[in-house]
Amino acid sequence: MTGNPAELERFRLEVLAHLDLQQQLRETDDRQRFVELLVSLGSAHGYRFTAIEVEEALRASWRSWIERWID
Amino acid sequence: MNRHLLDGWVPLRFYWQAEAPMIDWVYLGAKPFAEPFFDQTIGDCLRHPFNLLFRHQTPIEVLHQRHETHPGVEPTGFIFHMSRSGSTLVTRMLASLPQNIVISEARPLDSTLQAHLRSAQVSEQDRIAWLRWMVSALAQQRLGGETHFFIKFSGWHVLELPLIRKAFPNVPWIFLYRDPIDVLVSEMEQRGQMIPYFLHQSLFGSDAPLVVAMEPEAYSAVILATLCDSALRHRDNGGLLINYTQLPDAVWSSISEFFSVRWTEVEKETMKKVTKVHSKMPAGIFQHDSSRKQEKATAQAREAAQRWLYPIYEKLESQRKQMTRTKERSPVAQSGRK
Repeated sequence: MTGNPAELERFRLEVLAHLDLQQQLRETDDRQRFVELLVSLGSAHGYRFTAIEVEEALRASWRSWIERWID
Repeated sequence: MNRHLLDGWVPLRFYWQAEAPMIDWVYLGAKPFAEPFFDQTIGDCLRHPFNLLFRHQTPIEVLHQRHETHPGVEPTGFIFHMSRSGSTLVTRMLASLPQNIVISEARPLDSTLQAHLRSAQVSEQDRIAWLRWMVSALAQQRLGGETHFFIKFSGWHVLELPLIRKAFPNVPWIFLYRDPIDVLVSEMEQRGQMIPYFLHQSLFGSDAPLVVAMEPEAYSAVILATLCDSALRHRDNGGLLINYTQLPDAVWSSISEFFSVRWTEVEKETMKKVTKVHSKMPAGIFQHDSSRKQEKATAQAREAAQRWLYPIYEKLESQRKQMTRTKERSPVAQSGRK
């Protein structure tokens, strides 16, 4: 399945505007389950993106935190 | 923005987008700041994949709106320190009680205080307002029953005391300091903010190139003396000087009294239990280790301490003892003895 990083970003913004979606996504702290849940929720809301794209976004965010001292 | 969308969220970063100050928010929910440092609590929080991926990024004006609608708990007291002088122990003890919110060396506060170094457009009034808003965002209740709020600032923030006092003129503050040899030995064993260039050079004005070129011991001593000098100059503006040797007892006695906080005997016992654990290394026990540090001091450390630090340390000691004598002679203290 192919996805689109822009679709992930659009869904991310939708989640940030909806407390109910946030609540669902906070329910698991298991990374693999979280990725599956996010892809599945996105699909249910009409957004097409892949688990690989979610993983890449997670890695980029962690990298950004690690590099926080480098302004 | 829906006013409830940021409930349970906390600023983890103050940053710039083009020339606009921005806030990066992370969801903390009911998680208290239980770790020794702000970054540790945030780092722990970011282990949850939701928090890594979903963060609000807002203009700083949103911080202002939150300040208006969610002012949080008023600050009870501020903690400044020379570094390596027991400040982490103090904050750990305070954080052991659920009614206390304790923020330790929060990076967003640091970035707010340094905002004028990033953009010349930032005025002192901007920094004062932003600091108030940022502090209020960090002062939110997480468990529901918090009534006191303490902030331990980073070592160099004592240089910003005049601005911090303008933002919070009624919040009492303490300055923790320690025998210079002990601090220098600790600093040489584990370099922190004394790494050259870590502190912004503009803090030292035209002397910066000379200071940075010094040997490590002398460089650290000059910086530590600068921090102590700031505390000494501003002590009459709401401050209390505390020597490391007064710990841990001062936490439930003079410091609490100065911050107008009373603890029950049970709460004091809870705080005392924290002293059984090393503040930064939970596997070790807290104990005064001055004699070990004195033995480990190199000739360079002794020379740097004598030249740069002992003169200011003796002034701090003299002022601290004078403040104690003045307090003992005050009518309130006299009547308390009867």
